[in-house]
Amino acid sequence: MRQHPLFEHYTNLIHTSTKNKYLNKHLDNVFVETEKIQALDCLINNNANKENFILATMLVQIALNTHDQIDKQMDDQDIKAKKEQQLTVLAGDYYSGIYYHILSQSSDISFIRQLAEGIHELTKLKTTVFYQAYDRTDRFLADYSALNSMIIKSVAAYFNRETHFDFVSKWLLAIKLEREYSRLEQGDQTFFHQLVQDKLLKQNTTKHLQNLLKQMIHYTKRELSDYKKLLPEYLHPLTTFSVNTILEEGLSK
Amino acid sequence: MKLAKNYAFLRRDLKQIESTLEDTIFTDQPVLHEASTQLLRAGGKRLRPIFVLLAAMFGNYNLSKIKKVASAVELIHMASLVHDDVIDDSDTRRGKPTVKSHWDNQIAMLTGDFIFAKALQQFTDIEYPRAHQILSKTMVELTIGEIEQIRDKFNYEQNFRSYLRRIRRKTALLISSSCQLGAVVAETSSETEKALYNYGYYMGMSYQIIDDILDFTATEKELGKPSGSDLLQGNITLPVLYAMENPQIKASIINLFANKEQMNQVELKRVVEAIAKSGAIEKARRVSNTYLKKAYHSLKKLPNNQSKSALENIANFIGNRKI
Repeated sequence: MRQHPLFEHYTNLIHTSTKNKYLNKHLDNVFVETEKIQALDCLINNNANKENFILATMLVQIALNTHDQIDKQMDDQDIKAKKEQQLTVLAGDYYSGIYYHILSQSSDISFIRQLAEGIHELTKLKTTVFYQAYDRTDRFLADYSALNSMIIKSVAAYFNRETHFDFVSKWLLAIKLEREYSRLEQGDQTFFHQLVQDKLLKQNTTKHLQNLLKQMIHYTKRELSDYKKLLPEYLHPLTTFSVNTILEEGLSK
Repeated sequence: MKLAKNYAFLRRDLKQIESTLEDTIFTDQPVLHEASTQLLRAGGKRLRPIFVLLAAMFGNYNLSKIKKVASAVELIHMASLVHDDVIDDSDTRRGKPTVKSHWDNQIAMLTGDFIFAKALQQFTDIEYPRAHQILSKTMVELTIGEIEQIRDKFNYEQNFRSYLRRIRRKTALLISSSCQLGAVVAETSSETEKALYNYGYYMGMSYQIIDDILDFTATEKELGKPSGSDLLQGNITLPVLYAMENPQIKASIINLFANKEQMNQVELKRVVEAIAKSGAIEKARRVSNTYLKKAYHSLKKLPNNQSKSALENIANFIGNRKI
């Protein structure tokens, strides 16, 4: 399937800038959350360095997502799995280094700082969310939503576009949940599935997880529908964009 | 003589850097705060900040600016160490529990990312684009060096050049960049900056070779980890490359590597002893000394002052260090 030109452009840029022969040989292609490209495209309108900003932000997001893939313990892994984990640590570090390198080449020091602040806040929140017990799904979802959109929020703050960020955050969450549901149906096991199981489910079955994800999607979409009339023009592309299109494109790496 | 005696005149400035490091990693997230503080208090030689300070003394030495550079490079080094311990599955560093063993890999990853972010937040107070270009390039190269180290593990057919290229990226560049960044921020002449960069590069190469030698010659107590740990991880270092010139030793290393999952500890001990007695250590030390001489030579172009003497003495100390 042909990608939307915006996503195709940035996905190519991301793949080109993260190219490393040995990493590419042993690890899957980096997964690009295209909805975040869409959100950034709305938030950073008409800036001369827009392309660099979107690329750098996506690299930060990918670096941190990559580090989420590290297992808590590596004791029982065979050599191949161990090597993949070791390279996953370094892949995340490599992508972070490239984000810094790209922005330093264009002397965007204040944007380097802004993203570093975003990383700082996100690591704090992740440490709390990953190690905290939850007794309510809505509380988990609220924290996860903040976590999922933290880096994008730091960009919104940089461009003084935080006023309606609550909507952006929920929009990103809705797509994330749809994707996770779709992956579960395909038989994939993701970090998010594991997190939801650890935090909220007593019974560790796919059916229970499917039902809970359905509830989460329903809840998030209902909240999302309340916003539509109030949004400023720069966010309109998010309301008109088909969630399914983004989903399918995000999945076709 | 202790290393610190060589730069006793920096004691007050280094104290300020130590408190800058503590202030920088402060966070209200208790686990991240504890993990980062534990890492910071585990100590270390603080070589990179020392090089930043000494290099800056050849120009306009402004401590309030320089300390941000010095603490940022140390934090980047620390962030890479905490991730390295995940990669190497190490339970101890400098004889103390690593973040990954005290908590788990996930906390170690988050702590490394957190420290990296704090380092950049600190460093972006420095508004010299070139300083950022130098540091960012170094960070990318450092990671490539680590990726190459994994690629080359257990590869007993690798050559001297690939070893040298790897340690250049893995160790020497952050030390040479520390010297260079001190010079850039203190606005020295380009000749001085180049001389300091070269000094740092040669020192870094020598430092890593000595480190690789110590893996065979120092005791477990001195190292804070069993001797021969590099070989156990499959890392082919300079002493191993020289030792493999002896076909018998090469054959025993190939034999040892045949079962990577469960390396025979008795055989490992025997190979480590054979390498130590093979003359390879002396050969590796000669290469290290060649780099040290180059480091001394780089300093010749610099004016005589307290800082230059300290850099010479540190080179001398590093070349003779027993741990």
